[in-house]
Amino acid sequence: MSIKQIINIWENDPTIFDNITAWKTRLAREAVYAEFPESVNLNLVHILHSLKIEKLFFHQKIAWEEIEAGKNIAILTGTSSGKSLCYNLPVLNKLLQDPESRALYLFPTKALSQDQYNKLDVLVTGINELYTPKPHFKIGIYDGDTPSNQRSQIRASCQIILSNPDMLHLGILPYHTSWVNFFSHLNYIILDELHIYRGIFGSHIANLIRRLKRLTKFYGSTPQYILTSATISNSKSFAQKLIGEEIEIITQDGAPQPERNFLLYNPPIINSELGLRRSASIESIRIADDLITSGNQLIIFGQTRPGIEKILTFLREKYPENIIDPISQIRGYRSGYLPKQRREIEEDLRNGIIRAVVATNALELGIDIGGINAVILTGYPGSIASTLQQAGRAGRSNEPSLAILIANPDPLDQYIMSHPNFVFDNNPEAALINPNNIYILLSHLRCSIFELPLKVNETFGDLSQEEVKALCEHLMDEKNVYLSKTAYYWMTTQYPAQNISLRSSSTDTVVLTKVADPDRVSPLTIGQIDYQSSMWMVHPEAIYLHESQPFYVEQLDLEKKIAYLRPVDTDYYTEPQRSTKIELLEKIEDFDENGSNYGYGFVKITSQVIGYKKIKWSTHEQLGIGKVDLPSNELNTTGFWLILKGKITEHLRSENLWNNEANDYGSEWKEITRFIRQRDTFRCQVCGVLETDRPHDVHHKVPFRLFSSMNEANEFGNLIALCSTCHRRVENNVRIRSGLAGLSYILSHIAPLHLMCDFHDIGVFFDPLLALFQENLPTIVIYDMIPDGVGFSEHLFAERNQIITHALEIVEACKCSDGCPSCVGPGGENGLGGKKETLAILRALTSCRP
Amino acid sequence: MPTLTDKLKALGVKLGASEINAGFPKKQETRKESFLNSTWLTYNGSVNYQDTHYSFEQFNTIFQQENNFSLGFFSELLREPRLIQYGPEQITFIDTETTGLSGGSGTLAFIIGVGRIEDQKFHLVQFFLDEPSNELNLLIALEEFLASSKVLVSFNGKSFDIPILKNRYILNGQPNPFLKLQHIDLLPVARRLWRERLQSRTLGNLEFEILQISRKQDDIPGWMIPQMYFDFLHEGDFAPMERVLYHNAMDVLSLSNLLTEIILMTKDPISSGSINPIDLFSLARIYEELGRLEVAINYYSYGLDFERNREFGLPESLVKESILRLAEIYKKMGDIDRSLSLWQRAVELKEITGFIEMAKIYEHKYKNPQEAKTLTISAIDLLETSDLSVLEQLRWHSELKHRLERLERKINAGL
Repeated sequence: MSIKQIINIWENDPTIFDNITAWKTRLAREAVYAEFPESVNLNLVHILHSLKIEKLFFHQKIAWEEIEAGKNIAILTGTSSGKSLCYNLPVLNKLLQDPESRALYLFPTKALSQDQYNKLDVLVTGINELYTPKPHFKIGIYDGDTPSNQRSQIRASCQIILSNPDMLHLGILPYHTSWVNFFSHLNYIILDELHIYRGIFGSHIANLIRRLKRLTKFYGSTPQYILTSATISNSKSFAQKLIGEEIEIITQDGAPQPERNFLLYNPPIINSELGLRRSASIESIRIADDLITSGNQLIIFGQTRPGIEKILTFLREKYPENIIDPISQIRGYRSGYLPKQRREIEEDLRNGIIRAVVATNALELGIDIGGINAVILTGYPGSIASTLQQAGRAGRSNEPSLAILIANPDPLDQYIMSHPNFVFDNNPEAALINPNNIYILLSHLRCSIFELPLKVNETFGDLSQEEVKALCEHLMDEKNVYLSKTAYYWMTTQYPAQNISLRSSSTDTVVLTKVADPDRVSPLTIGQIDYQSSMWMVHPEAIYLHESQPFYVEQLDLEKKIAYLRPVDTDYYTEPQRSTKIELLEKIEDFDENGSNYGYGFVKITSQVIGYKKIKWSTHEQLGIGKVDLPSNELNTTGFWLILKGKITEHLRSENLWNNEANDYGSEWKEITRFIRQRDTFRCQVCGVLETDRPHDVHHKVPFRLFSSMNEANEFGNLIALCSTCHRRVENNVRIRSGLAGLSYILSHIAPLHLMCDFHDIGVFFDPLLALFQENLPTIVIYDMIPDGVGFSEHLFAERNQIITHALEIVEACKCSDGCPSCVGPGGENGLGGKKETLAILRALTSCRP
Repeated sequence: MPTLTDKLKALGVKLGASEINAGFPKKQETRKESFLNSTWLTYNGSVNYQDTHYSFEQFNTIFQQENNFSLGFFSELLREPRLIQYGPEQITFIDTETTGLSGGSGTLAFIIGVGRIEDQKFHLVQFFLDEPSNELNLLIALEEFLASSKVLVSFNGKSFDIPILKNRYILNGQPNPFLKLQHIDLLPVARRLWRERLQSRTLGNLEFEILQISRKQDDIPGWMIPQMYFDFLHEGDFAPMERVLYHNAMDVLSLSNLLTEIILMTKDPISSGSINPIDLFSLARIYEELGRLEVAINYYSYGLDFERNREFGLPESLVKESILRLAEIYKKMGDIDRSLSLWQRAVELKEITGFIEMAKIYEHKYKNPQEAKTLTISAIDLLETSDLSVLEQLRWHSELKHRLERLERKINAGL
């Protein structure tokens, strides 16, 4: 049964159709061809013809022309659009003109390198056979897996070298004197999947490029850059910042497209009071079943390994073995698998043996798997770019294909459901990097000085001479660097690249160790993270996700800097609870509106992880809490703030924007109030004023609605007598606090949409009385979790209007009564999650705009 | 907007150009040119170095007797025929002190010690990098020194010192001066010669065991050296560098003494009368591997001579190995009688290989499978009481069993 037919059936089935919130059909598109330009070597054209490439796609020709014109380019066309030829064509052509020419291809994963190597090999073999006298071109992969006895030969004889950033950083640049010939003739540098190089990782890569450029300059070459990337909102500026040069972007996609259907599916609500929905996995299995039984090949993307295992197990058990072989035809796929297994699965996908693959995002990146009829995304993958890449796996040449995104209860998922334009039309995500993050910059400056002494008047990246001088003087103070008349030399026995991880911002790291299995002799290191980050990411009892596998943290040894992790399959994840103090060090920029002040600047965060919340995966309900004992920690970084000023809070108070619900405090309430007023000697416990003609109010210190039983709420310790003025003020404070809490929740959950970061990469703090400047005011601060920041705060400031608007839209549209995990946070804990209060603040903020 | 300086301050560092510059004048005072006694003038500029001449009384060397000098052994060992033509004055001994062990482009050689025989003296030149910015002059001077040499002798130089120096030439935009030189790295040579006798073959240990030299108190352990250089750069006090120079000088001298010792040892080990038995065995094995079977036969036989051996003292394990190797050599050469008598000795020493080889000879040469079978059975019996490892026993056992079965089949087939 074809996709079209399945879709027809769904259209007429309300149990599915009613949950589809958006549907876009992109019609099939013919290829837009272009003739091979005349400047392409005829032999090369001939070989391409023999590989059934008769003409170029339009964008491949544009790429060629821009490269001929000496430009750097970034190709942003979709998946399977023939991006490789955009770079292979100019590189190979140059080789044919000049056999001394060299090119460096960098890929983010070894799997991608291998895949591209295979493609390139076909072309190079063709050239070697065809061309007389035989030029004998060679290509080679040079990475951590390359046997050491082959390395010098690859360096010496390969014209094209495929590698990855880690190898470049650790194994190539510090030993560049073994690459004299390669660097002297380097004409092209190719960077694939550029959008991956964002955040901390991207900031490191930008500096890696700076080091590489110093060396190519030393050896006298000026290579051109050819980049490929998924589409994001700031593609051009991001790419330019990453490589430090001007770029032309190419977006027109000339490749043929089959008809693509993209559905957004929101599981139905099963408890409207609490706002709970059916789990995405269940819906996913239901949809998968329809597709499999109708004979369609499909991929199901999932977010966590246990989630995937469950879907996999379920599907395998569903079908009789003579119809579908559960082992070979329904497979799992994740990065933890051996390369050999992964190659097998990719092969079996291509030749149609596999009916369904349940995969993590490891299958998202470019590896060629042919075209698949259908793709199911179980839960929003965390970024629009990933969503598009995963969905982009669907599409076989002549047949209509289907991608369906099934939402989790997460606010962001829910927001995407109601704003399909983000997925269908404009990706609002920006890839952010800060190459001048002081810690990252210093790390790479050390490496660069090791690689080549830095002259006193040299610049580095976009830094000025004075700035470079200041940095070098700091390094001299560390006694790592020595100024010898006109240049700075690395002067210590250590070799700097060794201690730098490209994925964390400091050299101080905690090693993540998988607790020893009984049948394993020694514990296995699975990764490492920043010392600072370790306290909130792998605190004792935390659930930590590594390569989609959840781990439980058994122990965090801060002295030895080791965290002990055990793989688990729990139904919850954890969110750390911090006690935090914030100090504003310096404002960079701010903006005063009528009732509020927005800004960003350098902040000092002193925080301590004191506990955590357990949150259920499938519904995002809070299951419980835990306590943790860890030292406090200082973080100097950048932060974005929103301060509610007098005007707004007055407005909120006076307009009585929140209804005073007539709470039914129980039949004994009158008695209780009499008793309390008497106990408190008929004086207001805040201002001291005596009752006159009107009895004082009796106030619940901890709000009534937060208790599970009336008796607990009305315990005398929780009640005080207040005059009506003070009562109103206190109530307002409680409400403001509750509104701030809800606002923090929603902002922190949707910020990643704009920042293209993980939830963990930013921290959120709020306080009804915080003095960032002189006055104590209700304030929310969202800060970069990375020391010295990577640019998140700046971007939040720039996009503040859109973000507040989005937040308002989500909360207004949410059907829950008093707050839920999909909008302002689950109601009823510690004065948090007040939906009405949050709405009031949001409305006030948006109405105050000029 | 906090400047970089502000941020660096926040990192806990006090800055100020004045503080840094304050170091310079102070250093220039203490760092006088006269610490090193000589200056080498190149076309690009000058470099300071320590110049020393050692007379032959100061250290023992074959170079005193020029007509005895020959690089023949090395020429054979390294399969480099050109070496034979060179005399002592064409050799440069080289050893460096570096700022680290990584071999990456940021490792510098701050002392390059080169020594050469000149006019009956050992001339040691130690170039010193008193300012890294002066490196180019040092490299040019080194190249000039090397101009008249044909052979380089080092210890681990092929893997370490020379690659680092090559990097320095590249970084300074200069061609590689080592291309036209032959290179004898004494580390792998030492390994082949003294693997059996010595656990450790560091230069220091060889100095002690083979050359029987011990250094003055002035010497310092190698691992301390880089930091002493860094301290010198930052503080300007040259005195500790004297000790590093001494260390380097001793290393270079030891290189030349080691070369000499090897030449002496290998020239005519038997008639010298002073060769260590284990060393003679090692030499025999080296010649065997080089295909110089007559020499190997001579050296192995010497060690196996019964009467001599009591005093000569070749350890039993090497006696056994000598027997087996020598027998194998005779076998290759077709001298069955000699090999047989050696296998016989092996059998007496309870070496399984002896039994097997004798069984082979009896079976194929003397056409006596019955005797072969007897030998095989004896070997199997012996195996049970031997103290070989489980793996070895299994290996032998399966081979012997196989042989026995085959022999029995042969016998039963009526031969």
